[in-house]
Amino acid sequence: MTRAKDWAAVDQLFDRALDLPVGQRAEFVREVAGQDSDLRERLERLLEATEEGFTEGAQAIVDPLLPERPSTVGPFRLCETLGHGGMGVVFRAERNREGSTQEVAVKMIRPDLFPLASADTLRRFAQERAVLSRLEHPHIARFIDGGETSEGTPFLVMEYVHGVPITAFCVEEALPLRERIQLIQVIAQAVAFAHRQLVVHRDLKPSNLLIARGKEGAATPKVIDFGIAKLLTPTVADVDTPLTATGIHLLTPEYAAPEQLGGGDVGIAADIYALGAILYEVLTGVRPFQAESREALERIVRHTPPTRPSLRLKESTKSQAGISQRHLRGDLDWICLRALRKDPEQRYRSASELADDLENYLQGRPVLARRPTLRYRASRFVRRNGVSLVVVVALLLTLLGGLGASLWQAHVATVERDRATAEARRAEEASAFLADLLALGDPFNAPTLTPPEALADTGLARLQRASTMDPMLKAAIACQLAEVFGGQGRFGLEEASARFAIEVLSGTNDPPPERLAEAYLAHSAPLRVLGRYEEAIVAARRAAHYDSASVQGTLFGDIAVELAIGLAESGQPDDAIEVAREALTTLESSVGADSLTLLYLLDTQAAALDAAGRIDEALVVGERAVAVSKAVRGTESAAAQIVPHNYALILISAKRYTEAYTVLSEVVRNEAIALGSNHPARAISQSNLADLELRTGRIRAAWERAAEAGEILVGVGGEGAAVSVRLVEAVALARLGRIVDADSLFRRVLAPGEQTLQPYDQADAEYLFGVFLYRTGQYRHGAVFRERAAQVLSPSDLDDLDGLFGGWRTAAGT
Amino acid sequence: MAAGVSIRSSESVEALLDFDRALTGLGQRDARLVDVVECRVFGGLTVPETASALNLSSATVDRSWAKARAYLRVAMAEREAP
Repeated sequence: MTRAKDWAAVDQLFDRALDLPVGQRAEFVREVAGQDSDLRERLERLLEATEEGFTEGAQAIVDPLLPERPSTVGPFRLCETLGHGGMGVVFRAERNREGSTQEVAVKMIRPDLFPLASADTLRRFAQERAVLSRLEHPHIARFIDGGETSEGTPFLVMEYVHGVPITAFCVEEALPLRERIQLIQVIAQAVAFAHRQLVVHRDLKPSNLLIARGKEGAATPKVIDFGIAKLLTPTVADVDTPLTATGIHLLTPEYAAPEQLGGGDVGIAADIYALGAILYEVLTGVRPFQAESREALERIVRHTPPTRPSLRLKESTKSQAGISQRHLRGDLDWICLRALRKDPEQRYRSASELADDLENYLQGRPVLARRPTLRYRASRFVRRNGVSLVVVVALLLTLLGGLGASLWQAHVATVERDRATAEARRAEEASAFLADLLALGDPFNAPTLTPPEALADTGLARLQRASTMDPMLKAAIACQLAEVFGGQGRFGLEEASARFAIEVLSGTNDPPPERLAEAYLAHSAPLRVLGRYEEAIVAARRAAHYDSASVQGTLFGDIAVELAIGLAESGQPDDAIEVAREALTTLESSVGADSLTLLYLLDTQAAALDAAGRIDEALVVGERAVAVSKAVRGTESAAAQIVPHNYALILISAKRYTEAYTVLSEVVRNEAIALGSNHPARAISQSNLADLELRTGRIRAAWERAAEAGEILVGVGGEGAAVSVRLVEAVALARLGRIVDADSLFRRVLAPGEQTLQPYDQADAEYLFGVFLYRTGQYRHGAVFRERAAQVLSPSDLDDLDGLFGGWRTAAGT
Repeated sequence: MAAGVSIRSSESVEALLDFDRALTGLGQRDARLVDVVECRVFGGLTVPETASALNLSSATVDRSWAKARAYLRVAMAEREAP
C-alpha cells in the first residue's frame, strides 16, 4: 500500500503528465522518475489505465447491480427518469385508481447503500415508514409507500412534486428579498412540524426544497425526502456491514452541519444548520463555505466561522434582485450566523424559533438572534454537584428499599400472588445487580479503584446487556442512573439512560402509565439542557399525558415545571406563562401542594414574563417568588440565592438599578458565606454585580469584583466564558484612569488566540473598545470600531453598553 | 408482477465489493474523485451534469474522472493479482 504523502507526490506527477499531449507523456515519466523504477512503474500503469477504456470495465461491473429500469413497481407504472443521485435513480410513475391517475415519484435505491436486510434493520425500516406516512403537512411531500421489489431492490414511493429547487427559483424569478425570506420561513415551519413528530430530515439542501407557482401565482414550497436519509443511515448494529461506509458520501457537505461530518449524533440542530446555510445562499447567491476539495471544505465547515452574509454579497456576481448590503447588514446577518453556529447548542433551539425570528425581521421587531443584555442569567435549578460513591450506593439502596416496600405492600394486599412473585424476583435481581456494581467499586475486590463515574457508566452498559432482567426493574434503575448522570453534569449519558428506560418500557405489553410518565419526565430534563428543546417539550407533554392517565398523578407539578422551563428557554414565553399559570391555579387549590414546585413555577413564570416584555407583571410574580423562597429555603443557603438573583435581573430590565444593586449585593454576601469565597458558582452573581456597580458609580469595587469573577470564569470555561465580565473590568480600568491597562485588556479580549469570539461578544467588545478609543481622543480608530459594531447592535444594546461608561471621557477625548 | 430488476449473482456482488473497497481507498486520499465517480457511474450523470451537481468546472470533472478511472483500475488490478 502506498503511503498518503507518497501518494500525493505521485498524484501531482500524474496530474502534470495528464497536462501533456499523449505523445510526450512517456518521456516526461522517464525524466521525473529517473532511477526510481517503482515510481516510473506506477506512473506508467496509471497512464496506461487512463488510455484504456475503463468506462466499459467499471460500467460492466456496476451495471448489473444498478437498479435497472423496471416497467412497474408494485401498482405503479414507471414513466420517465426524473434524475439520478448518489442514492439511486428517481422515476416519475403513475397508477390508475378509480378512473383517476395518481402521479408519484419512485426512488430506486442503490442496493449496496441499503443496510443488508437483517431482521433488525427491516423492523427499523418498517417503523420509520410508519412514522413517515403519518407526516402530513401541506409543505412536506407525502411519503406513500416503500418496500422491496421481488428481486430485492429497495424502493420508496413519494408524492410527486412539480417544482424548481429554491435557489434556482430565486434566481430565475429574480425574487425580491421579502419573498425569499417568506419562503424560508414557511419551510422552517414545515421542518418544525416534522421535528414535533420527532422526524429529522438530515439532508436539507436546495434540491430538496422545491418551489412551484400555484394557480393564484403564489410561490409554494415543498420539502421532499423527509426522513429518507435516516432510512439509509446505518445504525451501530450495522457497522460490520462492509458497504455502508460509502453512505457518508451521500451527504452534501455544503449544507451538512459540523457534527454530521464527524458522524456524530444528529438531531434537529443539524436541520437548523442546513436551513441557515440555505437562507445564506438564498440571500447572497453564494454558499457559506467554498473550497477546492471535499476535505478542505469539511475542515472549513468544522473550524472556520462563516463570513457575514452582507460582506459576501459584494463578491457575489449573480443577480440578486436588488438585494444590497444594507438589507442584510444587522438582523439578517445575525439570523444566518446564529443558525450556522458550529456548536449545536448555540444555534436556534428550534426551527420554529428560526421561523419566528424571520417573522420578527419582516415585522421590523428586534430579532432573537441577538443576545439581549450583557448580563449572565443564573440557571434556575441548582443541579447536584458530582455524586460520590456513597450517593450512588445510597440511590441504589433507596431503589431496593422502595422495591422492598412495594414487595411488602404486595403481600399485604394478598390479591395478586403472581405480582408478588414478580416483585420478589425484581428485588432479588436488584440486589444481584447492586452486588455486582459494588464489587466493582470496592477497592479490595477490584484490581484498580473504580471511580464513582465509572461505576455509573458500567451500570448503564450492564443494564443494557442484562437481557434476562425484569423490564420494570431495568427501567427503574435506568431512571435512577439518569439522575446520577444528571447530578454529575453528564447530560448525554443522562439522556441515554432515560431514553433506555423509555425503550424498555415501550417494549413491554401494557406498561404502567406512571412508570412511563416518570421516564419521559427524566428524559425531558437532559434534552432541554442539551438544547434539544422541541424534543424536550414533546417528552414533557408525553409525561403529562401518561401522568394524567395514571391513578396518582403525583408528577403533575414536576412535569409542569419542566414543561414551563422548556418553553421559556426555547423562546416561547407566552406558552410558558400559560402552562405555569394553569399549574399554579391547580396547585394552589390543592391541599399540601409541594411548596418547592410552587417556587419553581413562580420563578419560571416571572422569567417568562420578563422575556415577553411584560415587565410589570414579571416584577409582581418575581416578588411573590422571593417571598415563597424565603419561606421554603430561608435566606442563607446557596439555594436560597437563586430566586432573589433572578428577581434582580427583572429589576435591571425595569432599569431599577439601585434596588437591583441592593438585592444582588445581598445575594453575593450570602453566597460568600454559604459557598466559600472561590466557589465557581459565585462567578455569575459576581459578574452581574460588577456590572451594576459600574452603572451605579462604584468603580473601584466593580473593577476588583470583575477581575476576581473573570479569573473564576476563565478557569471554568476558558476566556470565551469571561468576555462580558472582562469588558466590565476594562471599562472600570478606564474609568479609574488606568488607560494603558484598559487598552491592553480590550486588545486581549478582542484577540483571544485559539478560541473565536461569539459574534455578539465580538460586537460588544468592538463597540466598547471603539467608545473607549473615541473618548480617549483616538477618534479615527474609535469611529471604525464603534461604527462596525453599531451596524449589528440594536439601539437598546447600544444604550445598555453606553451605560457602562456613564459620562466618562479623558481630557484628550473632550 | 413487480419490477424486472436484474439479478444479483454472487460473482457480481464480489466485483461490487472490490469496486467499493477501491472506491473507499480512493476516497481516503481524494474524496472529490469519489464524488465524481459516484455521479458518473452510479448516478449516470454526464460531465456537465456532474459539474453542476458538485459545483465544479467541467474541466475539473473531466480531469477528476480520468484520474479516478486510472486509480480504480490499478487498484482493482492489484487486488486481482495473486
